[in-house]
Amino acid sequence: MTDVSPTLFTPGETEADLPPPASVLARFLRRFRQQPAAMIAFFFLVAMVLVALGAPLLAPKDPTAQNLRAVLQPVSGAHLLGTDELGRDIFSRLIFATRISMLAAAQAVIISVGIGVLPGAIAGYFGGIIDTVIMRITDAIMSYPPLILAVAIVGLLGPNLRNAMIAIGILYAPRFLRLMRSTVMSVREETFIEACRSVGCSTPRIIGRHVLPNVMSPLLVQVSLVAGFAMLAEASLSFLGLGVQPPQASWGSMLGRSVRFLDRAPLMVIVPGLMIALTVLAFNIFGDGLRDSLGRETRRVR
Amino acid sequence: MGTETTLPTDEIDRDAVLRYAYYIALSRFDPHRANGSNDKPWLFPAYDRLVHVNSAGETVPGLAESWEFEEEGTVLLLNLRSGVVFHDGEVFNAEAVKANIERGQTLEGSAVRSLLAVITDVEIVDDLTVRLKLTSPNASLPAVLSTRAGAMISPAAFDNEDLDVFPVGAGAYRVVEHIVDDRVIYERFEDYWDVENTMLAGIEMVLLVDVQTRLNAMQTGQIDAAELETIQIPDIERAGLNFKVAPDVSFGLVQFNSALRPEFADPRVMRAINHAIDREAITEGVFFGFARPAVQPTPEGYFSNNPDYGPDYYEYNPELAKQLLTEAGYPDGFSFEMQTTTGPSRIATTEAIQAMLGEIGLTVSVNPIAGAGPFLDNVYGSRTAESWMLAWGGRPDPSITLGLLFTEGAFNNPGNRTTERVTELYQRSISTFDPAERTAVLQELSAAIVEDALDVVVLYFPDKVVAWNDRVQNIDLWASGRPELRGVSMTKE
Amino acid sequence: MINLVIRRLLAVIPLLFLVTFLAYGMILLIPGDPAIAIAGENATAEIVEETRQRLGLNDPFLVQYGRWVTGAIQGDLGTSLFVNRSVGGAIVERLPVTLALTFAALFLATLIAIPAGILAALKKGTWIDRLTTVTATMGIAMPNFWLGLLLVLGFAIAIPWFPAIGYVSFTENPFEWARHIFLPAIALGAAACAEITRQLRSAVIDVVQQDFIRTARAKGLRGPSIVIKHTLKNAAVPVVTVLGLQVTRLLGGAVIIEQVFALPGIGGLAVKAVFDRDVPMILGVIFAASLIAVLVNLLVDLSYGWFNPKVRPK
Repeated sequence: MTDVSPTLFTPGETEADLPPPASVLARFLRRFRQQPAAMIAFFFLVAMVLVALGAPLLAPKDPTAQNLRAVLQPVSGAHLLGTDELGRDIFSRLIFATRISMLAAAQAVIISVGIGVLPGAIAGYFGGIIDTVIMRITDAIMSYPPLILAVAIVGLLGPNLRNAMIAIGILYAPRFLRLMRSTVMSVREETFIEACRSVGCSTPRIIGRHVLPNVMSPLLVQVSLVAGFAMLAEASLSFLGLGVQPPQASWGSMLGRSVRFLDRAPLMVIVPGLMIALTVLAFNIFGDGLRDSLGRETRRVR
Repeated sequence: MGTETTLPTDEIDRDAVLRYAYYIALSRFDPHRANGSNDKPWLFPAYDRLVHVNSAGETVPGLAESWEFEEEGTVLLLNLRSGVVFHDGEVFNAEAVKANIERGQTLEGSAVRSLLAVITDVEIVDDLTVRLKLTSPNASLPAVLSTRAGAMISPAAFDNEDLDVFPVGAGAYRVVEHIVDDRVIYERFEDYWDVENTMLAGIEMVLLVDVQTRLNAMQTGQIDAAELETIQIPDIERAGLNFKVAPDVSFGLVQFNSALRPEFADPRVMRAINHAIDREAITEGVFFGFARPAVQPTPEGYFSNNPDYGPDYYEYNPELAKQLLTEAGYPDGFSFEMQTTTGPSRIATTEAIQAMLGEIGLTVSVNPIAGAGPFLDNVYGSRTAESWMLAWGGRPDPSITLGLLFTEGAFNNPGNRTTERVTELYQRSISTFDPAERTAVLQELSAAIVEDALDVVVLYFPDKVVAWNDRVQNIDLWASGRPELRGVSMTKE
Repeated sequence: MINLVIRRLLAVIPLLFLVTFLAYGMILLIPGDPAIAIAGENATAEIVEETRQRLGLNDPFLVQYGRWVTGAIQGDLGTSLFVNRSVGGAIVERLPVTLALTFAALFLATLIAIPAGILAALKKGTWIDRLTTVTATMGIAMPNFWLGLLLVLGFAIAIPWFPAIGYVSFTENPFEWARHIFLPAIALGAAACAEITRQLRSAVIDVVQQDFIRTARAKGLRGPSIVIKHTLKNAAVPVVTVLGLQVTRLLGGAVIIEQVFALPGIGGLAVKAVFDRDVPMILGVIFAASLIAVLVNLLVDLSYGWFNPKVRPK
């Protein structure tokens, strides 16, 4: 394959499509900083990641240490949020659950991106029959009511976090697939790509230099949104008893397990629910902020 | 709370419909194809059985007015009640009994076949007398005939396509509407023989799986009575509902497949596990004291229970447990998987055991299986599970439970581990007919099972709680495990 | 137009084949044996094997799928492996509840979203806008079953305005139907409401900024009449699209909400079928739910032309 040096492009063309990274970043940061809600969401998410990473340092108690002779204790100095049905410290469990919940969301997103991006790029790049086949399968997956399919997959594969995240990953893959496809398609149509190809640019090169930079921003927006949806879906599956394996806990499973103590220990139901709601809220607001800061061309991607 | 007094009949509202919530879905309305003992509350209002069980767990006359064993226990003679008719107008008689037993034995997909396998022939003596010829003496047969195996279907309805959904029995109430997995509407069967126990105009039985949902529905007055969980007692009291707590013959157990994991075939390992589990912590913590720690598979006070083997026989002693493990050659312990179903209280119990066994170096990974069917498949069907925690549903006779769990080749003994004396005592327990003598044999058998540390570790007998509002009368919890709603009535509003 | 409808309907058929084929493949490839669940707690190994034979569970995948499709084309979705009754019958019995819940949720969501979205758009940048946006985002972020539980706690038990559980059919008693469906519909519809509000808000803002509205303003038209005459019809396209997408999501969400409120819809049927490994029932539910989703989206596609002739599909 012929090596094509960048000098074959006129500087103007490169500039138009690919501004130097520094200026993109600067513009992004400037725009992003003007959105206080997005900033708060961002710091909240950073805090959650730090809590997840530093769980062993932050948790005052061992989250799995049981005390069957002190179950469902109310809020006290020793137990900031009381104890659960096996006498475990709810506050410490909540901190460790942050880790599982964030990890679960990350897993689902990685699976989604993993399943979605390559077929999307292939469909967009080659078009024709390949595109048709891939898009029909995508349509089929999108016709399944999401939770019904997830319940079926997890119920049959066996309830654990990995299977739950596989199911959720499959459900949201079409979002990435469609995004990738439309971006690749539009880039492929650009005249400079044709020019590039005519002088023998390799496919990987085109993807690396022209497709990826264009798709990164909307991809990031989707990642943020899907992370939020994945967290909600995990909570729903856990509520049906199809989530993480004990003794680990996610916010969703803490919520699902404590529903039967709703009357007696309402905090056990309210606090994990609130954590889920706030984090998903943060993911959504952060995603919106990203979209608004990343410039016109990336807005309103379905 | 407290015992109910029988009210003068003019207080009873004969037009009242009881709205009762139950939490386990009916498998099928065909009693021969219904696959679980949990189906009882749905089945028995519509299907009457040859033998009834009273609230103390004793067999009492049902469609059979009396019975006796003949020819050294190899024949059971049944005297049938006269004047009984099925909901479709067919007459109940010896022919019907013969037809039902044969159907249960031969029907494709019959779930009572193994229960009826002991009967080789049904001989019609006269219109209201049958003789059941048996392969061998079987003292537990009358109790078996109080289960689905003794439920009588109208022979004219045997081939009904919708028998799984629409029952045709001779029970006190007939089904007028059935929305599968949601509700069954029963209406009083005016021709039922036991008029005194048919005080309700009907029953509306609703499926409410979630326990909090059941309590909510009772609080908003949408249902009249339901089984709840003992952990809710403070809430039940706060809601001003009547309730009763009673012990039950079903129990919590952990079982190990010693065929799959030879470690468990060593009685020292099983004793170590027995000593490592703090049963009282479980009954206190998970059941808020509404369960009794136990090491025997029948409850304290029950006739087969051996009073010399209290829960302290395997006292909580992690040091001793560790020592036993070391003696067995596992000083560092080992790891294995423990399956259970996805119910929150089941998972909580399993998690508690996981932590306790962790203390003596046994690393347990808990694996909740979605759905009772797949779970039972793993543990008793394909037998791929290494260990599991489950609640053993009560059986009407102790020999049934002990035989299924502890004898060679039994369906519920996948490790297939037993001992000679357990086998011998079990055989004697089903071929002894004198009640006092049989009680002694059963107690000896119970002791042997505990001492030999077989594949089952008994944990506790939980209390059951049933709650009802002020209009409901005479509701009770039965030793057989489930309210039968027999004899329940309601007062006028 | 009729041609278009027919063409679209024909396009739906291969999609449904694909939907069922993928679902069937996925379910059968997953290990597990329904025979044991069917045979029951007193079964023996022999009975289990016999059950497996009887149900044809030993046949190859394509044979089983072929059998299913042949039946489905004739309107027969098969017989439940677990209870001897038709899958189609079970779904028909329960679908009305799920549909009622889904569309009540959608109705309430739209009812709230339309004024909220328009108001937020017209008052863009004010506290009204911000409050609406934040509330809407919160609505998307809340787990719907959690909201359901809180609603029961608040409006069925603490303040007994609504029943905590159950369902009464509309034909039996419309008032009771409404009372029973209200809390579940709110819990289910909250996210959809939020989504529609957001879409409507940005759609209205987009349209208001367009030239013809400015022209209309310049011609002296003011306030509400502009909104109604010009904006709404143009803003309807993105909103209707969202509505279509929401139907699929609500059908899924109904699974959980039905559990919380003990509603006898297809959600409970799906969960139980999964637990019983009742393959025909799982497939039937997925098929029915997907069919509805596909048809609703077809309607959405066709409605574009009605709302805006300019985008009428070729």
